[in-house]
Amino acid sequence: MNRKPSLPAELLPAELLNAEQGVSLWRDAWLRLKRNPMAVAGGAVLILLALLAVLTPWIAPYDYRAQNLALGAAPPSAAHWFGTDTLGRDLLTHILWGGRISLAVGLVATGVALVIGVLYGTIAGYAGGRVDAAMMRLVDILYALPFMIFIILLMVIFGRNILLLFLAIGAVEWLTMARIVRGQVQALKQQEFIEAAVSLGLSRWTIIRRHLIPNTLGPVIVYTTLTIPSVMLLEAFLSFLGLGIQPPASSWGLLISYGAETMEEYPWLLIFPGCALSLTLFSLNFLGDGLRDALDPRTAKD
Amino acid sequence: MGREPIRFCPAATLAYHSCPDAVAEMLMRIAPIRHLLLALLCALTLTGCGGRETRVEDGDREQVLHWGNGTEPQELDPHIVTGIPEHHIIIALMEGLVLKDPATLEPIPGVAERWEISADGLEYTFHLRANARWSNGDPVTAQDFSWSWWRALQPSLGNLYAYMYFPIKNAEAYATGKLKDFAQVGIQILGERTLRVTLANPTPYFLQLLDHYSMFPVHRPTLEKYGDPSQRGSDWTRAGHFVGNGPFVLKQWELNKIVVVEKSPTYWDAANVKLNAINYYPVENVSTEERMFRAGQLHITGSVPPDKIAVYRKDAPQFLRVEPYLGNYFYRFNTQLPQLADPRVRRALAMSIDRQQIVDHVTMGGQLPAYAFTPPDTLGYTAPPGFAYDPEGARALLAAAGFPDGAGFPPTELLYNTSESHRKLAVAIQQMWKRELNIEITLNNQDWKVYLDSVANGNYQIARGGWIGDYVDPNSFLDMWVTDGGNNRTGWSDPRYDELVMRLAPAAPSREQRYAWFREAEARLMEAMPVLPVFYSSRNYLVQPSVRGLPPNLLGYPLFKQIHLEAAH
Repeated sequence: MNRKPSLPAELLPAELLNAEQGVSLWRDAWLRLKRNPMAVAGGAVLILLALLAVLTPWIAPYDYRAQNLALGAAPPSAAHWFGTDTLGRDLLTHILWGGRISLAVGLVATGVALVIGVLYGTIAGYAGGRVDAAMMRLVDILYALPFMIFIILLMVIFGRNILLLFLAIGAVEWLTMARIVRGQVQALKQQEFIEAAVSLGLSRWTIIRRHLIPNTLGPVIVYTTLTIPSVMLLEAFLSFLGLGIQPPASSWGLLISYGAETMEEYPWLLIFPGCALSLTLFSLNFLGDGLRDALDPRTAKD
Repeated sequence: MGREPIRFCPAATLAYHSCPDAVAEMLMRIAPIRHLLLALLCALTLTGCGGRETRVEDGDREQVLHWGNGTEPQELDPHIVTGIPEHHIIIALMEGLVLKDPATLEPIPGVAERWEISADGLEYTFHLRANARWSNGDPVTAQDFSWSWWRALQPSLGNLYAYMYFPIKNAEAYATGKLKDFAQVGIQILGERTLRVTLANPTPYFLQLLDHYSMFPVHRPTLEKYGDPSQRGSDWTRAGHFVGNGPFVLKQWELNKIVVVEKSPTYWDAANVKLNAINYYPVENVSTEERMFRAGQLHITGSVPPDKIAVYRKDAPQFLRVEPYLGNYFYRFNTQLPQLADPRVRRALAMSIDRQQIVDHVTMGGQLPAYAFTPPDTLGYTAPPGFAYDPEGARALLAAAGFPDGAGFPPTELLYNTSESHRKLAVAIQQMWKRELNIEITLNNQDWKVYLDSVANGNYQIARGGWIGDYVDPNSFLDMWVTDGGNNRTGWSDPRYDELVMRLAPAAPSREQRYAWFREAEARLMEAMPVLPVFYSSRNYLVQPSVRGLPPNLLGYPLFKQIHLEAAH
């Protein structure tokens, strides 16, 4: 968009056409998304959760370290809305603080996976031939590596660092994304509109950016909404192995795994963090579904 | 049997009711958290099944004991292993000269039917019974013991428990390579079935040592058949190769699944062995173990999850056993670290932990707060408290050491082996230190084997530890802290302590004098505080009511030949 003023007066017709199409596609999508109540609700819940996560240091009812050993695990009450854990710490406070970690790891790791996977898959799919073969064999090789060992090696070499944990998880989650995108691109590049773009003399990079990536968004968004929960659970597993978050910091995945150990005595320790995670995942799924419907050019013709 | 792992993994497996064994085992194996939902789904769909006879009911009828053994044994070679899970298997397969009465822990005849002790307490003459047999039919002779003990002392074998032999005259010199001639070690064959052992000092607990697996005999022809007896890595302990002299023989050993031992027909007391077989299950997660017990798959567990103790006390006290255990739980300090080099800092850390709160609300299993290292009343020995819970005094000490109100205290890491119970305790103590001393402690957990390695190499700052006495004597707790002792690992060294424990106490003329030396040593240990005692252990576990002949004792020592199963009808 900001390139527009620098363009010569006699704009390339294709360039102009694309720009208009792009704008109307997004506006169209937004209008359609607004008509989908589930997607709007999902989006609202996610925004609310994100707000809670950002505001946690000010709104958390207790210090997340404060423990009351004599109180121990107490069921929900007026003082502790979600009850307390076995060390007498307020569960609501821990869910709020854990949400920060879980949402951050979900977003950052998935973002890393998304960027690498989409770019890699598109380039491989569009280039085809030997480049494609070489790039996809690399993906196959990485796929064959036990990814847990890969992450553990990264953590052992570079030390326990929460940002690195995010990146390490993202770095192993992009493989499937790359495969999905490559398949989509291979199918798309045979279609007439790409041929048209090529014959109009667009550069490869522009074709990838303006035509291929927007058309792969449907499956990418669906897969992204599936990746976020799996990285949250992966984080919990790594933390349990001592490679991720360490107490007293917490995350939803960790709270759930500890809650599951004592679910018969103290069910609230499993139910509340479980609800928080489920709520996030449902919201993501509804929003993802809505986005896919909204963005799919084929559904636009209905 | 010193180290206790209490391992644990994040498995949230949900096998309820009496489902078929195969399904329950499958559920048990679904470990990682990412399968939580799957496991939940399976459990929900399977809750309806039942009605089939459980493993325990079947075992009660067939006299097959199902034993929750905590973890996969490292080995079954008695001269290599160091753990408690291995102990439970090896004492079924082998027998030493002397056994312990499981009710009183007094020595009772094993391979030796009787023995004489000289008036000065230095010479022990053992008379081996004529009907003692190896599982292949060979007689057990005095030569077998002499050869086995020669083997256990070979430096090339790397036997971590070689020091159990050190009360024997010249054994230490031989094991450390200072003496080359084994004939000078105080082990003498007086006849086919007569063995004389000469000690360096009168050692009141010597008979107890003979029941420790490090002093068990091994079958020479078998060891020589499967490799060099003085080297590790031989496969003579595989099922089919193993030849032992105990009440049971090794039938099956499937890695991470099961170890099966069956009654031995050649054992001298076979007529009194009532069990037909024992199945050992390496269940590492205490919650899984408890669920298996509830599903009727285990006769006995290694422990109980702390949060379940109150539930069992209230609803099913007939299954729960809470017994005193001769052990303790402590944190080691790496005294080479600048911020932990000052004893005042270490004492401040020790004095700011509210141990009463911990045993009442965190461990909850009848443990006792520890203010000294050796558990109280260990064979009549009780150490005076080396310090008290005193946050005010702790702050003053920390300030005197240069960290007023925790200012400038570098972030320090507390290491523990991955386990829910260790984590919970570490979090509680982390917060106490933050509250009382305003210092930041970070937590780190590692897998059992990695953790052992880190501690052994001094690659830690503060590390948790646990110790269960190998025999009932304060020496089992105090000789680990001598300079460069195999289990010291704190870098702490005190010549006077070494002298008290290694030279003065063993040669003490009377028990009173010996305990006085020990008290002085322990006071020095607590003054320097290279190790921070947290609590004295207690043993909490679950037993089916059908198990008979398993009296409680301080060492958690079962005598398998006395155990039998009586189904309640």
